[in-house]
Amino acid sequence: MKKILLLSIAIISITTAFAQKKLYSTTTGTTTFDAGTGVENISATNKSTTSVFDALSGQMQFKILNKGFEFWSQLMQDHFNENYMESEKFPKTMFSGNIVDIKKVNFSKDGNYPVTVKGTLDMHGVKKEIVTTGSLKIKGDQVVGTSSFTVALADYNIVIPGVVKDKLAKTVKIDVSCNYSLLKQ
Amino acid sequence: MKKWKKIAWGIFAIGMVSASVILYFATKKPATAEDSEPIAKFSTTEFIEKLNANQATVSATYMDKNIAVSGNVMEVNKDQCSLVLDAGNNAIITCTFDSAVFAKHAATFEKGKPTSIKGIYFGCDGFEKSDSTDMMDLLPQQKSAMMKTCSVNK
Repeated sequence: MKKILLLSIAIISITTAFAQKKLYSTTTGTTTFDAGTGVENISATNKSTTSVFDALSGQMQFKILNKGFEFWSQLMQDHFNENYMESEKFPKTMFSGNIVDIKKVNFSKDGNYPVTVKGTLDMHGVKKEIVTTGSLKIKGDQVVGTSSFTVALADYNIVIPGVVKDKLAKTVKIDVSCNYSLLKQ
Repeated sequence: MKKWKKIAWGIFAIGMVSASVILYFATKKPATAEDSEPIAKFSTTEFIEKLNANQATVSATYMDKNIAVSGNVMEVNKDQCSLVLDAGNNAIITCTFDSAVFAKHAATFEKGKPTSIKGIYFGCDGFEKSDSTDMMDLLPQQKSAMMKTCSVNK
């Protein structure tokens, strides 16, 4: 009887430990990209980036509705959604991965912690592994996560027409900034 | 000679008009909700109910259009110039603003208080089975609708 009780406690403890999560989330993160070559300003911002990460395991995810990118020109916005991202067919861009060095981040001590993020970027129907660096700035219960990285359009089957090949960069610079709050569960 | 002159002027005029039209469309700014009136008004819960009932119909009718929603403020994000409106039953409506427009109305936004926001509707998430993929299992299973270039609906 005692053995069964001890075994039950052990199983419950292990299950609880694995199920434990400390989630930080936002639905209003900012993602900007710059695809210009200097000939013309080809950049856009999306201020509705949904993101969450687990401070214990380092698991991290992002979700963006492509139609939320705002350009300075209506024509560029239309081309982006209709010709390049095909937003009707592929409405979302997603990322799922891990902050590989999450253990280095002390969430109970304010400060700026450099981190490395590794995972899969799912864009335009193509999933590809990426590795990037970023930082987590801790201030009380608030965490600001930032990262900059580049993606090659060809890797995601985004074809640049010959007419705009001088204006549009083959590699796009992406900046992500998220103000996370601790998710009450 | 006169005939050739007329033809040359004609070609020049057509060229100028074409260039003007191209320039107009190339530099035309995207429509913002601040500059226009909403084509429909809902409470936040009504709009989420519409999405629950038929997301495709909502997309066909309101995608890229200015709509107004009224509900309680759940979050005010000054740094990101955005609001999150509570739509009940684990549903939210995210409203993002241009910084100048947000600054103009920021004093009126208060957590828990009712407000009416107009914005360009650009999509939703969490209403279809395909929205919850294994890849995104960590994200809270929340229904959300999104509006951009928002302003206060008076």
